[in-house]
Amino acid sequence: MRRRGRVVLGFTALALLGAALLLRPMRPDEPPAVAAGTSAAGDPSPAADLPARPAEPPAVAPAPPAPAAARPSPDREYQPQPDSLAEWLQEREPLTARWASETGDPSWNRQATSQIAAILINAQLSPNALRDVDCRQTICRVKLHSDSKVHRDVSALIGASRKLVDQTFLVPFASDQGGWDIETFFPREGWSLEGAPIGKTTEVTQGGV
Amino acid sequence: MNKTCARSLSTMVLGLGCVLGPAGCGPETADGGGTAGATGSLPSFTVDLEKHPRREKNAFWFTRMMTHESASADNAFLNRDDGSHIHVNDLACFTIGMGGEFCAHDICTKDKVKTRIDANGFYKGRAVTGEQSKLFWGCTAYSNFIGNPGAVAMISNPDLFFENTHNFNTWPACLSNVTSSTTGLWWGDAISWLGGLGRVFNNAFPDFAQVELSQDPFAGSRLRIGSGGCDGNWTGLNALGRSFFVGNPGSGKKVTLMGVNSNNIFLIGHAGDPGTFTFTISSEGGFSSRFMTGVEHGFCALSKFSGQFRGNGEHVRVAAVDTSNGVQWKIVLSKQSGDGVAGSATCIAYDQRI
Repeated sequence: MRRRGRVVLGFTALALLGAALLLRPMRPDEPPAVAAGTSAAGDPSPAADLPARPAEPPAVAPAPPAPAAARPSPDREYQPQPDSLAEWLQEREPLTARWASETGDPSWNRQATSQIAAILINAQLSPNALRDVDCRQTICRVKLHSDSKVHRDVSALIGASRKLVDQTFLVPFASDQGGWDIETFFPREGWSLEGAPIGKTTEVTQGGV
Repeated sequence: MNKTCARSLSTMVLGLGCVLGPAGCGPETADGGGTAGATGSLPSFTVDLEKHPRREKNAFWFTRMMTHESASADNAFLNRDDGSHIHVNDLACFTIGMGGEFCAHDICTKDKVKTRIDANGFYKGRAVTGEQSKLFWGCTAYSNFIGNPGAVAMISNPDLFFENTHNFNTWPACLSNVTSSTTGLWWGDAISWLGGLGRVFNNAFPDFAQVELSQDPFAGSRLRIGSGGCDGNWTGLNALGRSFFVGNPGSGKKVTLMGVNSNNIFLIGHAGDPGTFTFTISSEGGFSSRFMTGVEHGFCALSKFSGQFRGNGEHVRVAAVDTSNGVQWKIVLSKQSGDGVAGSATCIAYDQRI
């Protein structure tokens, strides 16, 4: 993947202000001046494309620079967005109820445990992260644990969970022992998390012709 | 008359059975949409459903992908397999997925993925990002829809456009936790989806573009863009929204959607009804993919696009998947690196009589 050519701003207010004054007139992503109704990207049919942009206010002197906004480090503490977490917890309820209503499948349990261990090893994660596997008739629940609260470490476990099958459902929980627990549900082959048997699935691009 | 309506005077060339709009073309109000029963030209293309008699069996639909590796991906016609261009009078086509490496160029304004309708009524697409840019688009036949007598189908045009340009005036000060909103999408008697987006969508904090479907048939849906934070190099976002109406204009009936109930049983209903009518997925939690509805019951497209898109095949899209229960619309994603991607989709029901 190519890295985007970003201008790295300094971390001090002085450097930031200096960079601002230096680069402001030649910002590459500044839209070129265009007539009303014309796409800045040179779209050949402007009239049908984008409504005119509101006029920009007259140029003003740069405001005192805000404190340097550091890119979030992968070493930052992991914290899911509250809105998303609330939605995930709500969606988790029917999956938990379905899982609880089914009887266990020891054979699938063993198979899933091996699969998850292999995924963790391939991702250079500790197999000790695997805390629980409980597969039932049509849905399996896996719990992984991260002692670390660091975003990079928790995300690595989330990524490993997503590799189980095509369709997974997971929720991160702050662990009582510190760190994070990742609870993941995934369906038996031929089933969906929505609860219906789906057989082998393949993408199609048209129908009813 | 708002600017959108004024512009439509030059593009309103199709006017088949043009009638009063379902919403959205009256004088702009503070909270969006337009005035019920407003007169005047419409920023839309109108199709007489009577000229598209409903098929009794088998929905007709198709999906395609456009990538930037093809030179024709920039402002290219959406074509059938035989190469013929698709006209808005023939099929209803929408953006159903987007992806790529956003803001890969120093000139982030170059990056955009969208579908639109040109002045002659032909669909066009653009897929221009740093690498792996993808535009997924899908079409459905007007004949799939059922309306009450006199029903029409209408597609908004030009696209409703919203751009957050605050950064141009405040740079280098960061915009942190910005959530901007605007109005202009049609009311809740029409479905509204994302038509395209551009600029960054590659910040370490999740940027997003979203359509919030109105639960009120006389209040506008909302197009929102924003960022979960600021990484010091924030250069703005833009998004396009497109509205689609099927029914009898002015009837005040909420658009009928396909969704699922708490037991994940497919159901038909409206925004605000019990059940799930917005299907959300994320690489970071919740569902990684979701089945939405059968292709014979409705048509699905994106209502939210969010995350850090760095190329390498990263995208959020709607796909049609063959299952033992028939072909179903499914929202899926692909994440390779970065801090994750997410998206949502909504499905309009083919039966709009309910």
